[in-house]
Amino acid sequence: MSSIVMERVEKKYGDKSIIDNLNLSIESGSFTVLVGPSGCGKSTTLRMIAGLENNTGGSIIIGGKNMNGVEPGKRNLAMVFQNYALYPTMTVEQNIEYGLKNNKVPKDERMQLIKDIANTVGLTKHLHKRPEFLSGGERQRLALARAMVKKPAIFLMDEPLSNLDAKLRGQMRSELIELHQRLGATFVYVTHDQVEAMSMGTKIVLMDGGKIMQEDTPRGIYHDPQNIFTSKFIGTPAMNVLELEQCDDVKLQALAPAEAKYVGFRPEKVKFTIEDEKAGGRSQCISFDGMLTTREILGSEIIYKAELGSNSSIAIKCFDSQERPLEHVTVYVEESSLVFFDGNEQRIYGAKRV
Amino acid sequence: MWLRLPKVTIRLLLSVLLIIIFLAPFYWMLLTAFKTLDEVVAVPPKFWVDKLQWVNFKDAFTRINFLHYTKNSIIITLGTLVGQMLVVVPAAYAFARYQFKGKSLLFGLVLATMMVPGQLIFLPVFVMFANVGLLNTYVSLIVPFIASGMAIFMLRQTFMQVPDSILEAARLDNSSEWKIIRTIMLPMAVPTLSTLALLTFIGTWNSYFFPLVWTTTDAVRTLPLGVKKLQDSEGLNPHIVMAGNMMLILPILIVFMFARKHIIKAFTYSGVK
Repeated sequence: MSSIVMERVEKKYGDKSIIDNLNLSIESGSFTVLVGPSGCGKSTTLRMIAGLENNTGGSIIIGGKNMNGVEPGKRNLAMVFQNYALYPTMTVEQNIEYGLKNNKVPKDERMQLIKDIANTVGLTKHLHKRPEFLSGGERQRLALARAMVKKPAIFLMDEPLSNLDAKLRGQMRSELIELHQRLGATFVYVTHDQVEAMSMGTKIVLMDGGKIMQEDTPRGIYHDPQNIFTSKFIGTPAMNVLELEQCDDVKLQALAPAEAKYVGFRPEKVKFTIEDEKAGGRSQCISFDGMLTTREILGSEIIYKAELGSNSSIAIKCFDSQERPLEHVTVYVEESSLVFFDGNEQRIYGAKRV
Repeated sequence: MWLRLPKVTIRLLLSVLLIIIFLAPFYWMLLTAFKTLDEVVAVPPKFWVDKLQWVNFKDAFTRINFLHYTKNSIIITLGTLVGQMLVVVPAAYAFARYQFKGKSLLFGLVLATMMVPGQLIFLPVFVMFANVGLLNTYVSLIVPFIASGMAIFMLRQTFMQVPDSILEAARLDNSSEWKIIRTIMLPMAVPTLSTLALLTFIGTWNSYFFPLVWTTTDAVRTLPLGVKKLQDSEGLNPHIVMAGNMMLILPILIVFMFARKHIIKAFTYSGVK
């Protein structure tokens, strides 16, 4: 039992409210990623779960037990910090052993656990080194080992991969996914990197300004954004969101629900040609006229930027291997790919979606 | 061409000059300690001795009650060191890691103590000790020095450099506050602690003024006063005084040699890697 439930949680520093009325439930065994721009309250939320910060209101329930006022060390969780927070004066072995010792694990058992865990993370050769003599990847593994050896029901991770170089980060990402599957523990992972969030999470909680913008599966959060913030935060390049007023396509105006103010569509849904063999063909598409201004060739895809009239521009992700000249084009978006948002930037459901 | 000496040469020459300036008095002390009186007063001065006069050391040792003064020095120095650690570590930790009412005022007071010259307070303190009957006791020469503003300040800076996340990791590892101080904070502060200890050691061991003015008898007087007494003993005897001085500074040299590594680290400490 290691579900986490946050009920009406508040966090204030003095008069400044960081988090106000946060309700979140994290299922036992899930890999939940808290993601959002810096200052959105994701780290504070994680630290309140850990008990490193006290929530100033509401309650945090872990495994069915209210944890308000319970010491961090007594919550049966482990945390991996961004800068690893290894104990610099202790050896690798002592770093791993510290938590076990504090939990009064007998010496023989401790030694066995350390041996096993060092083996798992590949630090057996380094047990007697101090952290300053380890490479970045080895420190990361040590931080994980120190968390894992306590066999906690919950792992909290605060941007643990951000100090690694790109290649190592990719590798650690898949190792963490495997680790989660093997341990079956609840993972709560904080990051500002949406790619990390999408690739690792079984559930994504997108936050902004201390509020949850959307709580969904990676698939849901990408294909079914509940608001403009979500649609723009998730996905590279971001979803194209245009003000309806500035679009002159008659069909689009007819499609839009009455209260709609914005229309959005993903860059990869924009086509340069219409596949006529598809049912409906041209009649199911809306079109934009624009001028291609930039081109980024990323290998498998090419990203264009098209200036439409009226000061707006859209991104186009195209999977053709041939690059196009930067010239005037007409582009098409299928009606089924459109999403509409109201004046409060909230998604309008029930628009004519196929 | 002589004006265009390479930079390295100039630096080398300056270094040599500095070394000579710093070492010359020590050399003179060492030299004098091994001279005979005739050699000491010889004109022109001799910069070398033909025969080492070990007897000077024996004389210095016997003319005053050397062991008595040494014992006092050891007791007072160790007492100050231990007392200082007991007071300074918790104070610095509190100033570094806790928020409490009046913190900045109290810390300001601690810093202000560094700016009050000892010569200004020696009389009131003397009167106070006299009133409570503590004159000529070890306590009177230990207690005033255990709360060092300088030490609290330096250690506070060191404690503040420890990243919060390390302490948080320890709390998540179910460590109590005391255990965190003992097993994480203090080991990380070892370079600073050894520097402070060395400075206190030198300061207390060499202290001349306070042991002189806060005592009225030889009961608890320390080695520097003993050596001074050598000077007053019989006529002209700089060679014996210097032999006494050599014995006085010997412990400092030994301690410094052992602590050098830590001291260098304290001034080049680069935080957590």
